[in-house]
Amino acid sequence: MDKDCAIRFEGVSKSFGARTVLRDISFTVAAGTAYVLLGRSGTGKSVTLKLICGLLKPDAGKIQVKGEEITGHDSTALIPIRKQMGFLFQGSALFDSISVGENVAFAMRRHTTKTDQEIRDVAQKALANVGLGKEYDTMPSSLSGGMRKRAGLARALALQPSLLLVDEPSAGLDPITSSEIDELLLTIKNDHQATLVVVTHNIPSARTVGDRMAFLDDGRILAEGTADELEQSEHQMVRDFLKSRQGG
Amino acid sequence: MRVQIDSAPDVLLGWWHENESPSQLSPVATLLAHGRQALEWFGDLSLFQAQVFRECFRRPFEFTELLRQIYEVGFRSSPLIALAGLAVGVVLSIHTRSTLERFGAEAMIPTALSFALVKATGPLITGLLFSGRVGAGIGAELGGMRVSEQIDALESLAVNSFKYLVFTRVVACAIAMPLLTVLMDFTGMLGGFAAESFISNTSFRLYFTHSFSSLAFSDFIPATAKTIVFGVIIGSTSAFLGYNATGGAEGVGRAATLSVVLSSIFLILADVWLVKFILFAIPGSS
Repeated sequence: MDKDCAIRFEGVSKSFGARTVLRDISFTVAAGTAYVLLGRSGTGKSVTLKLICGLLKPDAGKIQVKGEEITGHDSTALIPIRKQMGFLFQGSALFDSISVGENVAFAMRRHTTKTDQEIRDVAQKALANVGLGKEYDTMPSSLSGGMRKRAGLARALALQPSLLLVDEPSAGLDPITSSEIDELLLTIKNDHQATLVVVTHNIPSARTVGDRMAFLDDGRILAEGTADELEQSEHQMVRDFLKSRQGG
Repeated sequence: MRVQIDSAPDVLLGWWHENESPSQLSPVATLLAHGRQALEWFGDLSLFQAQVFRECFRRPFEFTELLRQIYEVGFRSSPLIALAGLAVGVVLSIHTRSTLERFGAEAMIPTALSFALVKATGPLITGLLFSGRVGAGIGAELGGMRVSEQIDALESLAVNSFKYLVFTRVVACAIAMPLLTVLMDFTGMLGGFAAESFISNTSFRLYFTHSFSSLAFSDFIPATAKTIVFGVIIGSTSAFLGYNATGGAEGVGRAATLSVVLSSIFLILADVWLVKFILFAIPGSS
């Protein structure tokens, strides 16, 4: 087991019916680094995140998370590894029947022995960190898209995960909020030595946050490396993508 | 376990997907294909129900969420059931009177009404009302959670979504159904008394003495206990459809509609089978 390797994909394939989304992809993400998945829409980036979290099962190949093979794990067996993960969904996926604060407190109530007041305090602080300190009792349906995204991030960070999966953190956000979220992700990576896997179309954001990047096309990793290495890629599409998508 | 839900139920309801229609096949082959789809669907539903049963013996038991669900599906259904019970009691009483007075047997009205309510009408009407209110709610709620990735979010927070969402709802339905059936029986008798006292000035005490005089526990217990099965059918069918919903808002709507339709059909079929079974197992009862 390689302790420096947080995630390892070995020959992973995934199809939905007749549509093949991932074809025999392999990559590793080093612990404490940020790995950015780039690519056009529908190339399997979000599916890759869900495979890491065990929300989807691969049709072929192996997935290791923190040295543990999760490919055959069911929901119960995945619980210990998921306690170390945070997941920010593309649409935030806040529970709409409870308040924003209770969304953040949800995992703590189930997985920690903290008192109610301690949980409230931690949730309040997590919301304040994403600029939503006054929204504890607000229902998710009353939040704007950007606020929902930030609340989703606060929820993903509630258990102080060592592995954070982030799906399009800046989609639909204004440039200032987007840059604030990038800063927050950097802080999480640097201060907590967390591993980040980020799916984004926003190239400036990818450059700010990412240590390494992979460009997915047609279910395959077309290019992998640092931002500078991808700019020198032999594939025209990769070079064009990095040059053209400056704003997300 | 996730499955596509739109094949067999759609066939049952006569909805046809052009893109799924095996138009090149012969009618027999088409029938066989749809038969196979229906069998697969029922197989998936059975596995889903078996998983609910397995979860009964595995921790955590989610007591807090279970209590919340019992409140949601049980307590909050009680006004509807009570009101329906009163109305059913009045209507049954009027019909029973018009029939029995031809034979000069008006004194049998409370007894006939209590038998009709406790043994047949109460459980079935409670089940149908419950499937309409709760089945649609579960199908829509879980369907909405599925398409908005809230179920995935639950899983990502290290929560067994099946246990938290499905198990608790099915068990809550199984607990709530007999309690609501007793409420329906009682309010039905109250409605019957109200109608009867309006016509014949029968006293409360006399009416209820007659109501319960011929009613034995062997009449009441099996008929009420069978509604636990109704609760499991309504809860598991609706949860299955919602938990596996696909296709955005349309998929949620379809899950909600199918939850009511299929729960009601299964409930009626189960009632026929259970009445036969109870008659066989406890002779003299049903």
